[in-house]
Amino acid sequence: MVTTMPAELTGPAWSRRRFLTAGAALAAAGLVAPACSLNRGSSPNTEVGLSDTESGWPGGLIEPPFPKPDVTFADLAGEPFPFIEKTEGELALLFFGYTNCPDVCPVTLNTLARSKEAIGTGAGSRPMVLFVGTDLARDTPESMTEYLDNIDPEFVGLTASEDVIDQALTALKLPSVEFEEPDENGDYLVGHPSQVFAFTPDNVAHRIFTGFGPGGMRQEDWATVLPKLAVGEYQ
Amino acid sequence: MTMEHLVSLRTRRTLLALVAVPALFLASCGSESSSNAAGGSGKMTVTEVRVDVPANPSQAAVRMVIENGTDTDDELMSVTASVADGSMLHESVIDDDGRATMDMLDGLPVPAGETVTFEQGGLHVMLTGITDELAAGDTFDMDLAFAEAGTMTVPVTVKAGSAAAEGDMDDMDHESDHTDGDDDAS
Repeated sequence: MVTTMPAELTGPAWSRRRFLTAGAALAAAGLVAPACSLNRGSSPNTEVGLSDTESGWPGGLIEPPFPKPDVTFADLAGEPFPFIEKTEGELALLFFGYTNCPDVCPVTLNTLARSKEAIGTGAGSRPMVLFVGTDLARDTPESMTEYLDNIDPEFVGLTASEDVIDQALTALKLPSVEFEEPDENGDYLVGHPSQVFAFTPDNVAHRIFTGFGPGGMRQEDWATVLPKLAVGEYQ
Repeated sequence: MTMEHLVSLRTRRTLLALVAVPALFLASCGSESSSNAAGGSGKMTVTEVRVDVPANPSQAAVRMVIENGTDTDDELMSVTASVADGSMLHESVIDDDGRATMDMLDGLPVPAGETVTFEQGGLHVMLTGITDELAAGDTFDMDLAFAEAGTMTVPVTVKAGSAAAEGDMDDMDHESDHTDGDDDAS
């Protein structure tokens, strides 16, 4: 069982701040400015400064870093995908969503795709982007393949049973998936974690980000941090 | 585990500061697409109506900028598009635990003189049961029913969310910084 409580250690309260407070802060920021365009000249990420260093990094610093969840997903060919083994030594970005998500998931993934294009070549240009479909009924290998091919065919689609997804979310201290009531057409919304975990080649997560919205990662933010994360720089 | 026992006083103060900071951005916001909100155009205008090539072809999120240039408060009551079986006004939200979900809106108030901007991670029209294939460069019509301004039909432009959606990975447009402010999360 991977779950330890890495925050239960000595150090200033500030560095023990859990990533959940980063999530809540990002949530608070999102709720305050829902319908307003941010001035495009600003850098809300650096000015909001969720990091506990003055480096200007967007997103949150996880201190001490989180280990990878010791779970085995399935890839879209139905083959086992043991997460630790398959992402060994890689810059791996992990995101949980669902294919019937019209806004958050496409935005998060498309922004990452465009960032890869912007980086082009060299460090950080080929991160492993792992999208876990949490909506088992509709996130089939077929629908996931089509979904990701429309965004970036290099993205890795993963599925798993509810239990395995729960295990992974618990290990990462991420919020659980919540399924809402179906409407008369049988469609339903799924509440899923908004966070993107960044595992650096040292096989731990020092950084967590939100992929969308005010305070979230824009293309230029990813284009800045991915080359650094790829070489193990995280603050 | 709850938020409360994890959040120290210092962090609480910081969270309050983080809530306050976005207010600074609110002060500088306004519609980039209209030249003059003050004085008003005298009418309701809807611009920048666009949708990304949907990753899941059966549904998509349409975004736009609605400017109420009249002196009458109004409300967007419903939206329909012939390419889709259903449409709903949604607002993406993140809850206290960091979970992303959506609120369905019965109506969207557009007060007199105000501009409402739909953006990624925020307001959108969720179209479901899309039967046509939406490719980059296509357009289709959408009807917006306002309580006061009546119904107006606007063309929706389909844009590529990424190079893959353009269908041409070899011809990457490195000018895709979206200076028109449409697609980047903002």
